[in-house]
Amino acid sequence: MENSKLDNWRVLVIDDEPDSIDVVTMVLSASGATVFTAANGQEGLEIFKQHQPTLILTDLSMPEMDGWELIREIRQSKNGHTTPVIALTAHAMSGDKERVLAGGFDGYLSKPLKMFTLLDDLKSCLGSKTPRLL
Amino acid sequence: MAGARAMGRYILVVDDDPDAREILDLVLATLEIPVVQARDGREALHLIDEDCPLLLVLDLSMPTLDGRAVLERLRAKPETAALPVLVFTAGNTGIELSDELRIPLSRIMRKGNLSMTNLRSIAIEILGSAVRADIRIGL
Amino acid sequence: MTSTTTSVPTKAAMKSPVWQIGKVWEWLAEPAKSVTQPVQRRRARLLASLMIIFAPLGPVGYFGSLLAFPIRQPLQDPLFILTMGTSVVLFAAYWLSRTHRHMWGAALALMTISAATLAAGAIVPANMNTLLIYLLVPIMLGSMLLPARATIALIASNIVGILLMPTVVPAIHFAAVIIPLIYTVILSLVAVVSSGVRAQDVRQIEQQSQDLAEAVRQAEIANKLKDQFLANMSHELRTPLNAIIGFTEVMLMGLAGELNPQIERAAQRIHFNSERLLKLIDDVLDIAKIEAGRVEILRRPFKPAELLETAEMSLRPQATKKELKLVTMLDPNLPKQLFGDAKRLEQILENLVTNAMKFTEQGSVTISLQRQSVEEWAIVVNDTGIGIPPHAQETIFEKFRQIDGTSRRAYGGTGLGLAIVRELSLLMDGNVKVKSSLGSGSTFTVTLPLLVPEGTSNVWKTPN
Repeated sequence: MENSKLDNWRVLVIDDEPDSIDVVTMVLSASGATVFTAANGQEGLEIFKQHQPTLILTDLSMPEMDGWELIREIRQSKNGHTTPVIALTAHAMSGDKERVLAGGFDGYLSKPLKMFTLLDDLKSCLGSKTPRLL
Repeated sequence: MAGARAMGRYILVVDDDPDAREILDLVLATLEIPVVQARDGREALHLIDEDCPLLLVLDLSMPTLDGRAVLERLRAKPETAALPVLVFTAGNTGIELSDELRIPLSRIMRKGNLSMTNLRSIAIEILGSAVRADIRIGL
Repeated sequence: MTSTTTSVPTKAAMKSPVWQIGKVWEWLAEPAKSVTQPVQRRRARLLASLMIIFAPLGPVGYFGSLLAFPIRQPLQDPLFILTMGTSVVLFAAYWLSRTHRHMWGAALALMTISAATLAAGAIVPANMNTLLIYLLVPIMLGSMLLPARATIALIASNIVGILLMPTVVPAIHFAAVIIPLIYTVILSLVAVVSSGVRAQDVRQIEQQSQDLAEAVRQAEIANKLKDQFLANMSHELRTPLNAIIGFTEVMLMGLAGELNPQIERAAQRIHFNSERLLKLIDDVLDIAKIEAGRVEILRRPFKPAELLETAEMSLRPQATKKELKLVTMLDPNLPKQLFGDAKRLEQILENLVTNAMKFTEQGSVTISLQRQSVEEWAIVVNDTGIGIPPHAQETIFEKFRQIDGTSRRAYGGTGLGLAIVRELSLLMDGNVKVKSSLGSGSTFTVTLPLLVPEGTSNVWKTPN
């Protein structure tokens, strides 16, 4: 894993499980990204409006505002329709992927996440939408 | 190891899972008594026949020559009948065992429910003066 | 409800002559081991019993009649030869009844009796009606001892025999034979039909019991497979988790190299989550076992005081961590010893208290074991927590149900604790209820039947 590869990435990680956030944050920070965190959709929305991250990783089932409501709010807000949003979820039933993409997300990673391959998984998930260097 | 074993001054760990053996080895080695590993009951009985250990740590849910059979064999012979045993089981039936076996066991524990620090304390308790004083006190 | 013992004859009964004769008869009439069908065994047994009676009957009757009517040269009397000959055949039939060829014995015996009766009728010309009454005996026996076709053959040969009598014995007129013959035919048909009907009933019952036995066998196999599966699952799931927890503890004890704060923290998080996972696995396997009906509730003596003490010891650390007060109360009206499954009761207690502590931020949790009535006792867990809204009071006992999605992370737990409490209570013939209102805590009551030892035996009863 090369360090400083994600120097210009600004990532918002939203999850109600603190351990999940910690782990993802540690891996992304170690690669040079700037990481913001939130514990639910409401908090996440506020941080998005304030800090304009270039990538959002969010859990789907959270209190206050869940992932589905969050994506709707983001897409309706300013700059919201271009920001890549990836869903992270422990529910892995068939048909979920389609639902997620139909809901407006740009990609889907299922938990438990593999930290060894997190960066590669994110990149392949985003495809051509990899956050451009500022 | 042969020298230490000949005096019977060793701890015998029996489990078919190599990870479990390694963990027990790492933890019990801190008592500065040699730890010997056996993969199954047959190997264990062979080692005990050569030389009876100070303590036997035994997994009861092994596939070959069931731990239970090992215990029965041990209790049948007078020279091994008083061997203290820590019995581990991964199955559900941990606590009913002592009634069934009718063997005076030192302890029965369920895998995962006993922390390694507690295991170490119990081992120290059983081994008594065989453990050097400074280790026993926890310096 | 006392346990019962199976009835065994008393020593006095076993000395009675009737009982002893019965035992001897049983031994004398026992069919061969190779005869397995119940119907066949009955027939063989019946044949043996009949031969025991009939075989000696002839000679005894003959010699008895000699006393009344002596004959000069009994050994040359044709009736004597006939009687002795028949008797020998009947003894042979008895011997056959104890082998697997008992059917041949039956056929032999009955043909011989029929032939002997007809021959006796020729030797000592008697009233044909009387003769035909005697002939009905082997026919009736035939319907009980022989399969339908053999019985019909027997009847046919008897009829032929009757019809031949007038030609062989000049003293008998053909006309005298007709009416007895008609009676014979009618009664024979009755015998055959009734035995056929009985045989069909017997076949049906046997089929049913065979089907039942097969169903029981299948159920037992299924249960064994379930038990094996659950045991395997438990072992397979706990083994890797044991390695995870174990190595993490090794790390935290410093036995895998020097620790720094970040590694230590990471290891602690792994440890915490692994223990959470382990509890979840235990609960899921428990529920699976209960649902598969493979959980057995033991009934052993235990002391309620000890139960309370053990539970308190294992729950106190949790309470202290959350700075909650843990209070225990034991009702003096509760018997010193009860019958039940102490391990499962402990599980109920622990699940209720863990649940109570989950939803209580300050105050106390009280455990009390109480006498509810003459026939019931209860485990009551009360807390000063946030309470449960009325609409949720029924659904909290469902699997994986939490009040609403939000509480899952904040309050921890597996969501199965109360479901397991309910299932166990039901298995113990009891039930669990909750009383609660928002903001003023909750009280969970598990009511169970009160069972106490009867005397000093291992038998329990409800107290009076």
